[in-house]
Amino acid sequence: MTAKDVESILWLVPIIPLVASFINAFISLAFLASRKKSDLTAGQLFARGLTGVIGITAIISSLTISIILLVFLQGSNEHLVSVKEIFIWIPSGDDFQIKFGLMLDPLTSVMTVVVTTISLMVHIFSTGYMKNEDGFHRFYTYLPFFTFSMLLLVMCNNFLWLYVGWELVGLSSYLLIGFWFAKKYDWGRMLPSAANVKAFVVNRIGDFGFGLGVMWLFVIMLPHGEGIPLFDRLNYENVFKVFEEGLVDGKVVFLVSILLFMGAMGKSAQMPLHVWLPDAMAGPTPVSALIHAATMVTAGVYLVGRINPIIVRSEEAIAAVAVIGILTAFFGSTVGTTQKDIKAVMAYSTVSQLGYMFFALGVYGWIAAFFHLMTHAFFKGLLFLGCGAVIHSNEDTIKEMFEEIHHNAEEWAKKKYPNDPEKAAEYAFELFEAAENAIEYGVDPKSDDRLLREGLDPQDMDYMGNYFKQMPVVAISMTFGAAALAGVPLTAGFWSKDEILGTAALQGQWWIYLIGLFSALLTAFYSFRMIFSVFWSDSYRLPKALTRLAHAGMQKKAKELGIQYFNPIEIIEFVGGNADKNRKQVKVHVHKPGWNMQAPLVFLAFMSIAAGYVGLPNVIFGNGVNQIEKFLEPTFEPALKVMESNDITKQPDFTGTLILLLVSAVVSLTGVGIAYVMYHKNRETLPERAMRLSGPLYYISRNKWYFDEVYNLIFIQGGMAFFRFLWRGIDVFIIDGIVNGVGYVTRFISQGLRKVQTGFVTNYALYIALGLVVVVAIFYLTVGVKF
Amino acid sequence: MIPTAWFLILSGILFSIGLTGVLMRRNVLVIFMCVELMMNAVNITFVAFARSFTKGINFAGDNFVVFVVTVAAAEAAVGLAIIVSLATKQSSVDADSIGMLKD
Repeated sequence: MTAKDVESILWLVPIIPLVASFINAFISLAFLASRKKSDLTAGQLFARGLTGVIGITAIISSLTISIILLVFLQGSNEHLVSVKEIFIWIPSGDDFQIKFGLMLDPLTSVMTVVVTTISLMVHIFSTGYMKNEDGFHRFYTYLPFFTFSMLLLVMCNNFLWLYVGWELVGLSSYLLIGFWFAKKYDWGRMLPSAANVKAFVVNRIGDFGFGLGVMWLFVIMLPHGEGIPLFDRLNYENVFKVFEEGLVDGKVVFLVSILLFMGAMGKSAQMPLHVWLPDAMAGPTPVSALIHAATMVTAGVYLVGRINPIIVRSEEAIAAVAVIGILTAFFGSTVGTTQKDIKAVMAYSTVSQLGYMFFALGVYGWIAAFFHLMTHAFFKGLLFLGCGAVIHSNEDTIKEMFEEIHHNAEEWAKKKYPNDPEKAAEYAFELFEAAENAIEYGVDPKSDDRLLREGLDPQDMDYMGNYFKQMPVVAISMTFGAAALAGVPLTAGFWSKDEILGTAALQGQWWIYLIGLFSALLTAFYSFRMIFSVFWSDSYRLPKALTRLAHAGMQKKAKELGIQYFNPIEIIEFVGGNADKNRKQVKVHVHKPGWNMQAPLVFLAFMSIAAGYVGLPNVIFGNGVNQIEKFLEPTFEPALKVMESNDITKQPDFTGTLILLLVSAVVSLTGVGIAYVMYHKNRETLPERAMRLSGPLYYISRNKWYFDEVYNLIFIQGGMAFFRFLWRGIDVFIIDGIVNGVGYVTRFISQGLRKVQTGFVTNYALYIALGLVVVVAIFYLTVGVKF
Repeated sequence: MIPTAWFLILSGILFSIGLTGVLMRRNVLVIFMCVELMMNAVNITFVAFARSFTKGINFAGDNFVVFVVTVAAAEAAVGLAIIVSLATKQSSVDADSIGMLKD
């Protein structure tokens, strides 16, 4: 296979998902429109399933081609294959010529493989997760479209097309987060219809800087390439050449790097623009897995990696990247330790891990950052999909329990009121509805008990436990994933995280290293907090919680209805273990996910371990072992050259690296150990004690460092106050005042002048006479008349 | 020869009497007569100036008097028509009661 062959199939990688998305869109609009799943005919159900198949097929094709390209690049001596010009997009005058072209270099290749792999896993998983969704076909329209956008972003060779891809992934994110746009209640969380707007708006703030950066790049490029026809001033090669020749002033390099980094901050949820990512969990879990763990949020990391020739020339910019990265890493890990919602823990974990990637870039650890990006995609995607399986099964379980309650309530009512079937039916329905409302919305908003106050949130870890018995495959895969996240020795996450921390130590950034290490401890803690709470602790909490809520709701309703001697146990009682046939006990079965949800988990679990072995440190295992470093080096050559000339490159040594590895291992195992003691052994007591001991720190962490509240105060309340001033003070008072004032003055004057019009002719004659006198007087005084 | 100034003084007095009458009298017919009086005063002025030249009579002045008289006649006709219609409407010729131009 030659470079020419590669060039001819390069364009297929992004286009195939796009075509699939359009076909699915056509199918959706033509056959399925907005019908509910229960209203579909057999033919329509077939079309619905077809959309899923089309999506999966398309991604498989893209993945296959990406792997072929990866293998090709690995084997060949050329490091860059590019199709410079597929078509000329904007031919505008002599200066502004933008062409559309694709390229393939090691970084792009790695990114495409990661993107398509995770996308494929999500596509397959979603056939199970979204099986009963009314919007299944819509999901499979947006998902390949997102994949196309992301592939466009990583494969294009032009800054403007990068911006286009950037915006398109933002759009896809908006569409997918807001997938359940009709949802009106989400247990106090932000609704999808607001969350997607928040994501888009916060992204936009970053895009503002990014856009300015691209524009400035164009301005920098303007004097170059004069005389060359169709010179694409925003093509990567051309731009980098200008920067590499040192033709750009240091301050300008710094500012451009910072502006471009602002885009990365917005897209990759770095502080202070991280606020959209936790609320983006309002979207379906597969969306969170794909977009907010593995792909879209890594676009920022890709951007900084891609502009390495620019940013490496500005030490301040790289330092800024490092500082923001480490702050974000620390922030995310502290907040993740106290969240009760399983998806929130994962969201803050993502924020934290992205911080790791950025601070890796900030300490010149180019390859470490992308190695971590790759392993993170696998284990975080796995964790999110696993969370999805758990949440899905919880929701299904609760739905099934509703049916049981309904059934049992009717039976009880028939027995209690045998002579009055109408009353029986009515009471049965009321009690059932009361139980349902209790479970969903809570019983008493003023209650001290959180369960009675808020209801049973399917995503709340406090009511999960011991799911290993019910879904062993999910449990074990998630454990592997969490181990990788925690950096447990020999997992992929261990190698990649240690490489990042090692690079920080190597460059002498000891503060960054220490904070990173502490964040790693917290990361290990919260990831295994989640695993132990959900899968391994001894208490199977769901039945008791359901029972308490149902009973409380039914008691309240019974009092209202005036039923004497009401005992809710006569209707239903949920248990986890053996159910008593004589009483109304119902065993709670947690739903096990189907094979199409379990297979991706198993694959990703495998990759969470295996993917680490392409990045083993050279210094310990022998030269050349670090495959990913060898592969990615050509992309970062410009940066590495500059680092050499500035004497920043440092060589790791054997003992140092070994010590750091051991320290990382100890830290992560400590975190796991603490989580084990707190959540596996002493789940009823220790977490509460820890909460009380930590006092205000707990509340700061639980409320996400109050970022949302502060932003609300400054931007929303402050903005509203400012806008109100603009409206009342300026628009109403000044502008309307002037316009109305003109009218008022006119009216005032005319009312005064009107008094002259008396209607008496003799008055008018008087005015004439007076006027005559005045004219003669003036004439006499000015000109002078001699009588 | 009678000095020109005396004619002018006469004219001025007549004009003032006429003006005072216009401003102060209540009967519109009397007001009209005073207007005629003002116009006569003006005529006297014209003729006085016409005859005040040392080198003979400038007939432009006498000429103008003819025009003034004509205009006065026309104006009187029109004015009296208006007064008649007004008098028909209000059955009085009191100037103070004509307030229809007031808004």
